[in-house]
Parts: sequence; C-alpha cells; structure tokens
Amino acid sequence: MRLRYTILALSLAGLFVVTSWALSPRQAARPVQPGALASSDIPCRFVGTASCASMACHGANGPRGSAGSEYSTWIAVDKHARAFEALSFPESVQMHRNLARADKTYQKHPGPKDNPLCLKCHGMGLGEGVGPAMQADGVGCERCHGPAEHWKTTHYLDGFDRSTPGFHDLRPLVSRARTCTKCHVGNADQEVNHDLIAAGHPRLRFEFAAYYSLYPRHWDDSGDKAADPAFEARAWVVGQLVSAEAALELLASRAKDKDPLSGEAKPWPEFSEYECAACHHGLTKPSFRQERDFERAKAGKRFRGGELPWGTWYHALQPLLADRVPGVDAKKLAGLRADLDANLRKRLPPQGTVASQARAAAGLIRAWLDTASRPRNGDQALGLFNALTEQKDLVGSGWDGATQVYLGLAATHNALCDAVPGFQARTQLRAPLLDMRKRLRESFDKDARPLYDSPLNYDPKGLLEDLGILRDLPR
Amino acid sequence: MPVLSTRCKLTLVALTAYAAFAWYFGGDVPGQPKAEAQEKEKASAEGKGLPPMYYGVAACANKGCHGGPPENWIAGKSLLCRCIEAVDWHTKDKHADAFNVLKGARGKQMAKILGYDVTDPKGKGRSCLVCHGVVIDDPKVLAESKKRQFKIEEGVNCVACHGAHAKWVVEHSNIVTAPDWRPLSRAQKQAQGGMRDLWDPVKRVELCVSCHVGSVKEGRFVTHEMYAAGHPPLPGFEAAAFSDQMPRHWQYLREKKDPEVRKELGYKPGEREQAQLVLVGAAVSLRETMALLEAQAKACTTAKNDDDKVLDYSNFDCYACHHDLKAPSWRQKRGYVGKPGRVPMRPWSLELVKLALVATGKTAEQADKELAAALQPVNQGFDARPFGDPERIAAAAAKARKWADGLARKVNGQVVYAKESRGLLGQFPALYLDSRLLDYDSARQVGWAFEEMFKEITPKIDPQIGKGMKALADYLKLRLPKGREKVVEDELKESLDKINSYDPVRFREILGGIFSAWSKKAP
Repeated sequence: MRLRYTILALSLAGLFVVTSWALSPRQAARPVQPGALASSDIPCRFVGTASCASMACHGANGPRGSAGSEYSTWIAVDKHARAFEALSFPESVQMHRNLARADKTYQKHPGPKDNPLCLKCHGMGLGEGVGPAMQADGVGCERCHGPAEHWKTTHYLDGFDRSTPGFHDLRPLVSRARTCTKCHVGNADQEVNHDLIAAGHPRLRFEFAAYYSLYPRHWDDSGDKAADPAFEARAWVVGQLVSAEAALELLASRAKDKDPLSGEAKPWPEFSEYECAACHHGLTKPSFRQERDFERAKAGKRFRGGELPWGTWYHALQPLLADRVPGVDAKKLAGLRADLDANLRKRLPPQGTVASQARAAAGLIRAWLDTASRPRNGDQALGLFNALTEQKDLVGSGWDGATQVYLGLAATHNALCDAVPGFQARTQLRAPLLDMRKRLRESFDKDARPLYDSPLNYDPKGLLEDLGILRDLPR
Repeated sequence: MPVLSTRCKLTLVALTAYAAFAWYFGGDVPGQPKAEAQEKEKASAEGKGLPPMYYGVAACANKGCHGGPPENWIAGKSLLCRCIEAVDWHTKDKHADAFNVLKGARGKQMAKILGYDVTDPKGKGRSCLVCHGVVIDDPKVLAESKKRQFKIEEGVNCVACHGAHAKWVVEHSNIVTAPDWRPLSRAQKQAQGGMRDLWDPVKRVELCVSCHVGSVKEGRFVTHEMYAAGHPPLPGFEAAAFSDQMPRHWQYLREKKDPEVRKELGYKPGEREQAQLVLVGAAVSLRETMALLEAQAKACTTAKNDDDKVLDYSNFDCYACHHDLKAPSWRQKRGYVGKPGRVPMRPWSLELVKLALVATGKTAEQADKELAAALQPVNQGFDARPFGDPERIAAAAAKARKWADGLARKVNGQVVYAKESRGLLGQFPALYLDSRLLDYDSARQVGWAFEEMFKEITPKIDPQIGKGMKALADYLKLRLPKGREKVVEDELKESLDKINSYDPVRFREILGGIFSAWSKKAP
C-alpha cells in the first residue's frame, strides 16, 4: 500500500513544500565565488555515478551532507536516486499504456523505462556514453554536475579550472536554479505537458527557494549563509526569475516548435500553462468561484468566466518583483506580460505572437538576473515581505496564487530571521504564517480515499484574514 | 458650379424614387421583417405557411377542456385527452417555472455576473428565454398573442410544445369545427392545423432535446459562459425517464381505456411504448447532439476572432475537466478513447445507441463496433488537438448525424413488444457490464433505460431486484427534483455531490447485483 501511494506523494510535491518547510533556525555561513556555466561545445561523455562513489571520493558514508559523503547522502536520502525506480511503479506503467494507446511514439517502447522521453528526466538522459545500465542511477551526479569525461580525474586538484569542458559550475545561485528548472519546469527538449499529466504524471509545480530549503543537500551550505545572511530572500528572488525565464522559454517552444521525438507540432493550446484548479474542480454548491464573480460583477468588473487563467504559478509575482527588485524595465515587462496574458486567455491563442512575446519576456528576465541575483540585505528582505502582505488579490484568486504568496512570505521571513538579530523573537509573524500554511495544506482533503490532488477545500477567507494580520503586525 | 446633364438628373430621380419605394414597401424596416422571418422560420417546424399565434395557458385551461373534465360529453364518443393536462402542468410540471427561476436568487446572481437582463427577450436575455419561456419576435404576433392571454411568465407553456398556431387551437376545441377536426389523421392535424404530432416518438424527442440538448437553429444553447455564471449543468437527456418524471400529463396509448381511441391514435396492441421511446430517444439525442456539434464547429471554421475559432466549451464533456484530481484515478485506470489530455465530446448520448443498434438485430459486440466506427472520425476530430479541430469535427459530425438519423427512422419503424424488450434487457450485461468503466452521465442513461424498460414489462418487481434498483436510483440520483415544489436549485448540491463522488466500479457492482438477482429469478 505504501508503494502504491508513493507516486501520489510525489504528485503532492507542491503541497509537500507547503507542509514541510519549517521556519527553522538559521545556520552559519561561508563565502560564495561567482562563476558561469562551462562551455558545452566540446563533446563530453558521461562516466556514470559509480565513478564518484568510492569511499575515498564521495562515498565515505559519513554524516549526511558532510564533505566526502556526497554520494552517500544522495543514495540514502535523495529522491533523485529513485527517479528511475519510479518508472517501474504500476502507476507509471499505466500512464505509459494510456499514452501508447493513440500515439505511435509511445508504441515504439515497451514501457517507461525504455522511453527516451521519460529517461530525459528520470534517468541519466540521452547524452554520450549513457547506456541502458547507467539509466538505473536515476538523476545521478553528472545530471547536475555535468558529464565527467574531461574532469573526473582533475576536479579534486588544487587550481582546478572550473571552466573545464563538461563541468557545470554550480556555485553561482543562478546556475544552480537553472539546473533544477531543466526538469522541474521543463524546456523545449523535455517537458511535462497536459497529455502526460492526464495520463498520470503529477503536475510540475516548482518553487526554487522552498525546494532548496527542503532538499537533502549533500553539500555544506553554511558558506552561502555566511556571505549572505538574507540568503533565502535572494534564493527566492533568483528562483522566481529563473523559473519564470524557463517557463517563458518553454511556452515559446510549446507555441512554435515540433515535438523532438515525434516530429509533430506540440499540442496547442497547452493546458498545463494554466491553473489546474481553474478547470479541475468538482462542481459544487456553494461555489466560491461564482461568489467571487458575483462580487466582482457588483464592483463593475468584467466577467471572465471560462477564460483559462494563465501564469498563475510561475508568473504570479512578477509585478511585485519588478516593482521591488531593480534591474529591469518594469513597464516593458508589464506590457509584455499583459499582452501574453490577453493572448493566452483566448480560446485559441495566436501561436506566433505568443512565441515572440514569450521569448522577449524571457530575454528581459535573463538580463534582469545580472543584478537581481545579488545578495539582498535585511531592509530589502523586509521590503519584499511587506509587499507580499499586500497581495490580497492573488491570495483570493485561487490556491496557486495564494501558495506563491505564502512561499514568498516564508522565504523572506526566514531571511529576516537570519539577517536581523532578534527578529523572530520580537515579531509575532510566525503564527499567522503557520496558519496560512495550515489552511493551504487543508485545501487538500487528506483523509479522503481516494486521495485528492486538487485543492478542493481552498477557501480564501481565512487566508485573507491571515494576510491582513501579517500586514498590520509591527515589524 | 458643375451642371448635371439631363440623363444624370433623370438617373438621380429614378434612384431616389426606387430607394423610397423599396424602403416603403419592401425595404429593411429594422427589426420587423427580420422578426417576421424568424417567426415564420419557427412556425415552419409544423403547419407550413400557417400564421403563428401564441395562446396563453388560460386559453387551454378551461374546465371542460384541459382544466378538468366536461360535465357533459357526446354520448358514445370518447375523449382523446385526459382533460386534466393543464392542471397537471400547472400543479406538477417544472416547465411552468421555467421563467420564474430566472427571477430567483440564482437567476439574479447569474444576471449580475453575465451583465445582462436574463428576462428581456429583446436583449441578450433572448438566449435564456428561448428555453425558459416563449420568445415572440414579431410585435404584431406578440400583440395578437397577448390578446389571447399569452404571458411570458408562464414559461414553457402548452403551445410551446403543441404548436403555436390558431388554426388547430380553434378547430379542435370549437364545438362547430371539432367534429370535422377529430377524424383528421395525426399527420393531417399537423400539416393543416399546425398541431405538432407529439405521438410520434421521433418528433417528441426532437422537441425535448431542442432545449435539453440544444439547437443552433432555434438559438437554444447553454454556453459555457452561462454555466460558469451559475447555470446548473444540463444532465444527459433520456426521453422516457424524463417524461415520466416531468411528470407526463399524457398517457401512453396502452393506458387509454377506450379501444377505439387507441385505434384512432394508432396503437399497436401489445407494443411497449416506453422501451420504444428509450430506443428512439437514444438515436434522436445522438442525432441532435451531432447536429449541434456540426453547426457550431462549422461556425468556428469561418470565425475571425481567436475566441470563436474553438468550439464553445459546453460542447465538451463537462466532467473531463470538472473533477477534483484524485489518486488513484478511475479515469487514468480506464484509459482514454484517444490521446490523454485532449477534451472529448459529451459522452452520454452514445451509450443507449448501442441498445438501439441491438434492437435492429445486431449483437452487443457488433453494436459496439458499429457505434465506434460511426463516431471514430468525430472522436479523432476532438483528439486532433486540445479543444479539437473544428473543421474535422464539422465534417465528421455531419456524417454521424445522418447515420443516427437512419437509425432513428429504423427504430421508429419497428414495434417493440414485451419479448423484444425483455431480450434487450438481457443484453445489458453484455453492453454495460463489460470491462469498460462508464462515466456518471452515461451510467445514468443506462440506469434510466433499465428502470423504464424493466418496469414496463414487470407488473410485480421481485423484492431483491427492487432493492438493487433502489440502490441504483440512489447512487446515480435517477430521481429528478420532483414537481413544482422542488426546483433544480433545491437539490443542486446533492446532484453535484453525486457526480463528484461517483465511482464507476460501484455502479457496475450495483447493476451487476440487479442482473444476478434477475437471472436467479428468471433464468
């Protein structure tokens, strides 16, 4: 029974983030060096996770996250090590069967373990040197650190050149986040679209700061925090922007590209761009949506019933960030975002226009990251926190928006606790934050069988009360 | 100043005169000729060429007519009607509240959200009133009708279904003309007097589904915008069950006491009209669903606006999207007709068509295959991309419509006797208890058909089977909100909860239980 629900546990990753990210005490720190992703022009072969695992290298079996025990930590507690295993679950086999029924691309493969589409994220990928046996490693060392052919024997030496071909320098926070978004948001080459989700794949709902905080890290991150006490605020800003950049690039590809495996046009409109719960909700009475629309109508606002709300997860907080984090032409970005929003709410969004607008917006965000990825101080973190407490429209719009606001509040609150001595002790902000978390959690009916993966009990009222309290409490 | 030539002047005068003439006699007076044309179009459904006239219920509800039996009646001559039709309609039939609900709390909330007056037949409210009342576009006809007690507040009134023409209304009720009217055949009454021949199951179902499914020609169509603003979901329509629960104010012919009346109306002794209605209803519902799809998809192919290039969402299976996400999921376990993640058409109108095919002599397996083949191009159109490919859907739906029309005619030409009906019921396990999992709306069709057909041939139901049938009725909420004392709104929460908690495995268990009890009883 436990195995049966494992995939569900994965599918509830978004919820899990909310439920488990404790507002924990902060740790001491070490400085960070700037850097860039290495050039990938030179062909590099993957050598396999086993090459890293010897006791003298990264398999020392020491305490979790300690130096020399990176592999030990990964294999023991990191779900990435089980990514391939998930392809054997009955749910995954059923999912593959559902997809194969009407799709020749899937019919070519006996099951998910043999399907390159699945292996792109659940295995070692399709890179050079990756054989069937290596796929069983799941998301092994080289999927994030880069194929090791050219650096396997040199990376531990003094003076190692971090731009060695194949090596991914993950010290810069932006590189780290981009490594995650490749799979967790998706890109032109590997994505979880609505066809996959309908067949049984859990929805992707990535939020870097929360995932990072929960991730069983196999490295010592005290240096990050020492150099940048408000690290969590920076991680949140970087995560928001990198995810939005990736989501926009993916959107452009969805609108214009052909599927890399089948060669056919990608599905359009692509439903996974929209808020799941906007459609996927049981019809109920009373309906908070109809009540919401009634209130809006009374306030003279136009009825948008039946329009699919776009960007409720990855793009919800861009206006706030553009307002608070310098480095972008806020007006230009807002214009592009409004155009995209208007186009994507159409029942048949114009593909060419959407693709070019999405690429342009992604470009603005990419340039913005040069300055936006710099450390933030306590005042800046407080500014972000305060601005988030004003987001009542977003909290009232649906679970996605409310959760993004909560995750931002939690990250900036954590940063304040780390960066401002005595902040946690002298403010009362923790209790309403925990209450928000509880309410978002309880949006899912956890006692029901079958289990729910949609926030059917989402009710904005209590969340809005919490937000009001957070806004009014002294800092 | 330029000087105009004589020819020029003459031309100008002629043009002006022509314009004035055209304007006065034949030109477009805004609204009116269009309204007249619309009125004629509506009237052409029955009684071609007859002028329309919309009587109010009061015109029919006199005691001695349909408001109570007459005190004296011609000796030796039976009445065709029950004389209490208007009473039943007035006291029990929700159609009498069709307009009133627009003024209820939900109607008001919807009006506010939608931003228009849902009770105004001249504005956007027309799209509501074409089903929730009777819309008269021609002011002259409206004025004349009002003199004959027409009130839009009466909702779906007598003439809305029976034919809005003065000729038959007068002639069938007037003591002078009635003796000449009565001997006319059903077809003659329709053609000459405009009285819609509702004894014909095809015509009856056609009429019901013009609202209960929708009809582009009549402007009757519940859009997704209306649903989103609060219109309760339209349930799948099953003609026999919906008639019974209306409750019907008419009798099946076998219920008529007088053999002469039975003969007069074309009753074939022993025929099972409810079973017949189930079968005909299935084919006609599919036909009209396809007609609706065809018309809407066609409109998409010529649309300029990006929003109109895609079918209105209400053409899709509501619950394909509107369900809470669950794990494990019966939908994922069941699999999909085509690609997962593409939105399919509303499925309910397909299920009983298989039964209709079996009635034409096919085996369950053949029926399944034939239906799948007939619908495959439509499904492929829906599957081609998210929200479907309107061009393919339009072409495929046109073919499927013709196919369903052929089936409707064929089934309507056959007579179902008890033996046939029992034989069809015996095919339910092969048709509906195979490995597939049925969605809620489709399961409900099966439930209703079983109830109607089984009750019709079983005077005394075995308690064990009765228990199963009650469980089925409860599980699928086969009982619609009853009478005028309950409106849809009153049971809406319960209805929606049933849909949300539906599990196809449980449905199979219950239906399977009924059939195992039946096979023990009558092997």
